[in-house]
Amino acid sequence: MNISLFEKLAEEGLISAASLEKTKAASGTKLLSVHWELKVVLYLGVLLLSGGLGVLVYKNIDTISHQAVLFVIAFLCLGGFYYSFRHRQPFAWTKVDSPSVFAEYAILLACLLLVTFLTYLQVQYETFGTRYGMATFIPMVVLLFSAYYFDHLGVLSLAITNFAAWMGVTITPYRIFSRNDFSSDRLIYTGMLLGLILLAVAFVSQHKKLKRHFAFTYSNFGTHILFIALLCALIVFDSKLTWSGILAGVCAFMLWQAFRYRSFYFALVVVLYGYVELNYIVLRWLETVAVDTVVTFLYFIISGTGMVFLLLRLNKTLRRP
Amino acid sequence: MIAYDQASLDNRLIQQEVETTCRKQCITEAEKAAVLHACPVRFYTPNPFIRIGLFIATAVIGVSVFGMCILLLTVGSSTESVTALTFFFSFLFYLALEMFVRVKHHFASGVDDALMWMSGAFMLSGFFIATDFDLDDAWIYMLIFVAGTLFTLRFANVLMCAVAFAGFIAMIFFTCFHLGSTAQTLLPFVVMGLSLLLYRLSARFLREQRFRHYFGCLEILSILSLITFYLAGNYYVVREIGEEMFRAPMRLGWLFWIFTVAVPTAYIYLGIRRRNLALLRVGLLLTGAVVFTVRYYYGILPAELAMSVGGAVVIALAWYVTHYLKEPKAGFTREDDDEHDDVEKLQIESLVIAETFHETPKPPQGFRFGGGSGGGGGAGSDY
Repeated sequence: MNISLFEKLAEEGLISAASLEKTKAASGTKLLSVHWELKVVLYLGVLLLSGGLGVLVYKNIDTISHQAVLFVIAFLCLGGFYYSFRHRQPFAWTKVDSPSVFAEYAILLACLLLVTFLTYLQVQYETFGTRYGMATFIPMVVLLFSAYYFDHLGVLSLAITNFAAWMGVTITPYRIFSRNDFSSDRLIYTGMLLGLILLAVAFVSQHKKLKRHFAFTYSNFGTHILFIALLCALIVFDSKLTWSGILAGVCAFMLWQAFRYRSFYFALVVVLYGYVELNYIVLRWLETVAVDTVVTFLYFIISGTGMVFLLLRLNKTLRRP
Repeated sequence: MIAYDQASLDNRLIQQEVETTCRKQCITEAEKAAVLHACPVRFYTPNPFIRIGLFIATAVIGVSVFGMCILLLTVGSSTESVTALTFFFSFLFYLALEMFVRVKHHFASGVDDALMWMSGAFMLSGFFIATDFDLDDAWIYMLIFVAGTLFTLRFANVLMCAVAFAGFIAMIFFTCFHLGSTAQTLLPFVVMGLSLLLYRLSARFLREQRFRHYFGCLEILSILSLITFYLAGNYYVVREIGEEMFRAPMRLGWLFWIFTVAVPTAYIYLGIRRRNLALLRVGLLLTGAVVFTVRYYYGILPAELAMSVGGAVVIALAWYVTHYLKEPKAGFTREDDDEHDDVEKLQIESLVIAETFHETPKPPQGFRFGGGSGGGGGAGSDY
């Protein structure tokens, strides 16, 4: 804190002498926070340990150390759950702050190891039968329960991606395009359904006040997968008019939602997806009438200017208290 | 020197200070309101997300205008006219940037960011086209360094500062590379010396109030120079670059092993002693580089075992620190110092978790239990 600045402000009579003293006292005892450093270190530790154990369990499969690895996994998993269970706050449907950074990551580690363990059981003994669905369904339920019970956003995100995987879609940010084959209509419809389900869950948790702070995570995943599925439908399917109409409708609805919750983030997301849709439709149309490339550039100049004005307008409207 | 309105920049700093102090309840809401009223900021700074959108839209418009002019104005697509047009557009974007900053008072609005980057990129492309893409490495990086520095001085952009620094180091690297074997041997020490110099300079400037508008740039400069100081002395970097590019065997290997291990340790130690978070963070980051370097040449354990053991050690260490800092000690605390709930920070954390842990370890392809088939209690119908 810049003490001389506050002294000047006090001189000008903008802040009282008592406030200046308080500020001075606060800056004198200022502690450096290593909160985020601890988080990153713990994150790396969990990443390494769960990843390493996950590989180890399938190596040296016939030797005695194999049993030892399984034992270590089970032990760490139970230990993690025990630790977080002992240090947990009482459950509530509102936001419950985690008692410590360590407890937060203990839950994450325990959940990851549990999933590893369950997957292993499935692979080796087919514990959950031969149906593919069950093997991803059970970890999902475990993750979902832990996310709500211990109030953990990270585990919730894992649960959502697992839920998507159970439905057959990959929705982690970097793999959403590389892992999905969006030309198959089954995947497109699944994506839409998944997006709608996630948005519905977000709506329910917002309005029934069931872990309200989870709503953003649900609607974030839901919005993206819904828009991507709709865009793919527009590109892949033949009935362009229907799908562009539906997409425009969804854009309008989501924009209205963004206004309701005053979310700049969702406003931007809707504008960008909407812009991609508009570009696709216009470029296709320009292709059929076969005009000069100059017209295409002209279209981009005009539409870009339109987007600038729309964004300036959005900034103004959303900021208004 | 700086393009933005000085008084508004100062008032912006004051407003930020007052906001944090008010959050810590050192000053009252009424006082905060009075200060905000007395120190107005004239900038147009939209919400960060709107900034992203404006950046994209401005870039689309700029590139489209350029494309249209290329189609309409260049005759027979001669290199000269394309070159001239590229330089002209670089200049045009710069003019527009100055206009938006000085007349419209845009500050971190996305429009100014896009115009700045386009102006720089078009200038560089102009040189590329003019020389038929046959520009020497050292010259390219010198251009990046000079243009980046000028832009940084004028617009105090943190990312531009990082680009200028990268250009500088790359320029030094390629100059030494072309100078011959003596310069190549001395290269690690040259880069280390320059990094140290830059670090000392930026650390000193960070204490002087007259550079307050460049504090962000100076911070990134000090962090980057700490990193290049380490990388220049890292055994892996020196050896592999020496063998790949200079065709020279490793010399003074022991010295670089000392640098590899000692520098991060020193960073962490000094970071704790001087309560300097930048040093501490860079030190922690580079500890990973130490592990990687050692493991690359001495594969002591198989990867998965090393990962498990390393992860366990790291978690144990974090557990120790958490307990050590139950009460704040030596000026450090484990609690988050910024109390207000930062939704975006938490969301990013959860997204990173979802991204990296999504793949639950699966057995290798075609994995089936051969051998002792009597083992599994609940064996399925395959058996």
